[in-house]
Amino acid sequence: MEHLFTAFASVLFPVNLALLFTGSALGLLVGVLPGLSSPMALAILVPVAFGMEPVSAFMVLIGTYVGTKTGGAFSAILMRTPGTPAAAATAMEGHPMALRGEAGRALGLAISASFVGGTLSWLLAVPLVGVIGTYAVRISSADLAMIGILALTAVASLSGQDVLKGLMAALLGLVISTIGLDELSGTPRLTMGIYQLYGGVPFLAAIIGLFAIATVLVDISEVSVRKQPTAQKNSFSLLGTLREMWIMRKILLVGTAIGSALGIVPGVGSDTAGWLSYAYVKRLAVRGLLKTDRKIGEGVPEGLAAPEAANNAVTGGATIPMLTLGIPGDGSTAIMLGALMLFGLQPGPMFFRESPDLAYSILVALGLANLTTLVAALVFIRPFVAILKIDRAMLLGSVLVLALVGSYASSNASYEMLIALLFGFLGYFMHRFGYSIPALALGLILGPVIESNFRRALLITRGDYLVFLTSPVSLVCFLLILSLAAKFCFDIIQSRRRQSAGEGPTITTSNH
Amino acid sequence: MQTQTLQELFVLLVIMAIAAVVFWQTGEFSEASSGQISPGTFPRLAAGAMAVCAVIKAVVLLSRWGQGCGIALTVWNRETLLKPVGASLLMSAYVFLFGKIPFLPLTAGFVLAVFLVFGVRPWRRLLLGALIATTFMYVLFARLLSIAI
Amino acid sequence: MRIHNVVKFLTLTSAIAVFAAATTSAVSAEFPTKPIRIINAFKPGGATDTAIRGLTQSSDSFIDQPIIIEAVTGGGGVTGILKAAKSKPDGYTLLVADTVMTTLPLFQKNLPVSAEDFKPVGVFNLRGAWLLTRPSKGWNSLDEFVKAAQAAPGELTVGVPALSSPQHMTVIALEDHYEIDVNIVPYGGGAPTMAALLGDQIDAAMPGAPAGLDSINAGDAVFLVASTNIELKKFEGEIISLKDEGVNHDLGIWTAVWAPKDTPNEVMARLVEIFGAMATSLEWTDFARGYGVTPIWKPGAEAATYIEESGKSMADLAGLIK
Repeated sequence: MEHLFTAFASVLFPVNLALLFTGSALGLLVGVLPGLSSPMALAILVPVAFGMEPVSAFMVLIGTYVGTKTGGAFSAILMRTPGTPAAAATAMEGHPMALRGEAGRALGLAISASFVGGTLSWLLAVPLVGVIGTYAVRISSADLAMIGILALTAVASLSGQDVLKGLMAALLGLVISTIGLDELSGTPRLTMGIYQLYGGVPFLAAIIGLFAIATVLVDISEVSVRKQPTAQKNSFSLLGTLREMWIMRKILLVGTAIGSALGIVPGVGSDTAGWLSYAYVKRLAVRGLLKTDRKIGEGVPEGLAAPEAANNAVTGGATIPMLTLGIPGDGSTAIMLGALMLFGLQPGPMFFRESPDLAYSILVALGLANLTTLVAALVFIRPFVAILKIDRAMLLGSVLVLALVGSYASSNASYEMLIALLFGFLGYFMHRFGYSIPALALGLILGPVIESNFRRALLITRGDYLVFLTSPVSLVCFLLILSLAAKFCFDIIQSRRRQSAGEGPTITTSNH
Repeated sequence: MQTQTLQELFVLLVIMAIAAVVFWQTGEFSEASSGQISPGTFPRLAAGAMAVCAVIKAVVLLSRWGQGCGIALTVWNRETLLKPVGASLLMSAYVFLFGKIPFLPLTAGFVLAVFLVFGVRPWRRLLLGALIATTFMYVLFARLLSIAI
Repeated sequence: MRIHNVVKFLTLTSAIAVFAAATTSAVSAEFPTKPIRIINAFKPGGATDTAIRGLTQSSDSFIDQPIIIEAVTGGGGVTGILKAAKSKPDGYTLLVADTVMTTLPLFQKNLPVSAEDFKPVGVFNLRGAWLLTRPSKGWNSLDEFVKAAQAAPGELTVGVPALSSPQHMTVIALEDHYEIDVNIVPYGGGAPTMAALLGDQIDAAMPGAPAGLDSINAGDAVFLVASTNIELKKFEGEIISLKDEGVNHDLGIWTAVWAPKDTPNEVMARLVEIFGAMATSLEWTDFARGYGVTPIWKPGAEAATYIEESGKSMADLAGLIK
């Protein structure tokens, strides 16, 4: 509690608050622009933030992380092109509202629903982080290994429509994570005699390649059809929005709950949360439980508010495993974990004990970032909508330079540029063939968590495999893994049956 | 439709080849002492599981031969390849020349070429954009972050 | 018009770059005439980084040029060390590195670089590792720990931050001296090692001081022995070192500033003078004690001997690993 207040004071320190605000504004901008996503912005920002003090650096990163979740709604509403995958569900009702001439109302609702969702989930996360943080030291190596395996199973089986491809991507991440000196025996593995790989594949360079370079290569090969934002009034009345929010409070709460819960599960990010809460509203509408006479798909405000609350609520949920266990909840938190390690900090059970200043500052900043994003959204709504007219080719070209120089800047070693480039090519082909890039990134982070804890547990018990079933945490994880695996097998069999029943192939959209 | 399936199968073959390389490269580790797992076990497990998934996927694909593989794929033609291939070549050149040519001229040339390939027009805009982007990079990394470039 | 300007701009910038490259190679009369770069091959914010930043904070009282710390990470430290070794031996590019310089080649064959490629400017600090346990174990001294270990060979688990680290070697020294056998578990860092100890997953831990200091002062951990004589400002008890216990090894974790081996002698002498002044300044000694390391200063040849001896100790112990 005392630490929490100190952290509040440190985050409210003008410089830090300004950085958080800048991050939020930057995040909004990135979110607004289609093609730039939250992990991409973070991957490029980490080398820049690297020149700062850790606390300041995380103000920028967290501001950006939260800002992008809101920014995506702008272009979703105005152009039906979600600025981020997270805002895809927002477009369903948001764009019809804009077409009807209610763009202002839709934007107002999106901004405030985002704020409510993000803030509520944060309020939920703080005590949970505290509770889990207290018990985290009691979590043994065996438990951590099982949690890691569970996370990996969840990534693979929940992340996309094509389970097998998700699994292969995650497994490839695991394989890549084993490159380098083996922590428990000191032997070099899969280094092919290249000493630069002794320390493992540099995470930041890999992430920059996967999320920045690959995304640009994919985006630039698509023939772009530019949609101009419809010119209409984008302003809204604050009071009217507040009244509307109060009317749909129940739906906002459900959206928040869905987002927070899914945030905790690794691999399931904002896009799933958005779609799931949209499905909830849809079901209500079908049963006639909404206080509206409009049909779903024609611009129902509830169908916009719920996904927006949900995709922002993911930020609170994803924080919990990241700060307490060192296990990322989504692609963006994986990058922030990587950034922590770059600063020489060890995320995990000891994080709150060893670096309370930074840990609590991050926690506080995650809450306040919702507020700074709200303010930034209100201030910058007009200029950012105008920016939608910027030349996409120029923007994407600049991202390439930023990515290359950025990958050099954090290590001052030019081979990291090469690594970034190679991972860029890898990501491009993965995307083209529908293999999930976030799954690979999570595999990269989870690999060492699973392997070293697994082997360490066996080392402590001198080879007793029962250790993975005896503690309550491990046992629960084991049962969850089993049920996920069962669902996974069931899905494959069912998809085969569906196909033999003569149903057409499903169209898979890969997210990045 | 069938070209798509063939492309998919080719990717699966690449994945199996990666798994094979991992097996071959982790072959020489000896089994360690009591309660310890050899350093080769984990990469082999992951690579093995990956290969198994690839085989299952291939079987599923073959059983649906002619129906398409499900992803909205990838038309490889001049239109879709020019920009990514151009950008890839330029990036490779940039990485290769980095440190051999001073930062400013190299970056300016790179940005200009990338903008050109990506189709930034007209010329005024192209040049101005490249100038701004290069200056921005220089100020950000060399001045603000004092990276030795 | 604009095209013309751009061409002009490009020629101008290339001209500036060429000019800058030409002037810097000119021989200087009084060292240093330009900023000194110190390459840190390990994570920024880590122990080495903090130490060198603490040391060089008083640099402006002794030289007119700034000292820049550059983190060149990757390759388990090899990337940065190699970059320093390959740099021009003019005293303007130095390296800061710790015991890793002597332990790395013990476990990794065919490295492209080694301590032979450098000359030490000086060793400027010393850290110790310490053996900690939980109060619930009931061991209040090294003796009691050793008795427990003798009673149950191979049963006690001792966590260390990394394999082949000085902390690991210290446990090996204890095993060798007392003829005990403990189960050594590497945890990948000081913080996870402490977490495992406080979570009662291991019987004892050997982190590098000052990791665990707060836990000792809070009564959550018990101090048994340290690998060397260290001074700690906030430690309330008495530090007992291996030597006090009769173990003939001094396994301190030292940190040194290095120069490429072909650096001219007069430049070396000047570097020793500059870094000696910083290493004995009040700013550094205060900083070091506050941070939990012992400020020392062993210049040039003295440092070389010290490093060689410490390397021999490590090599002997490494030979004992089963």
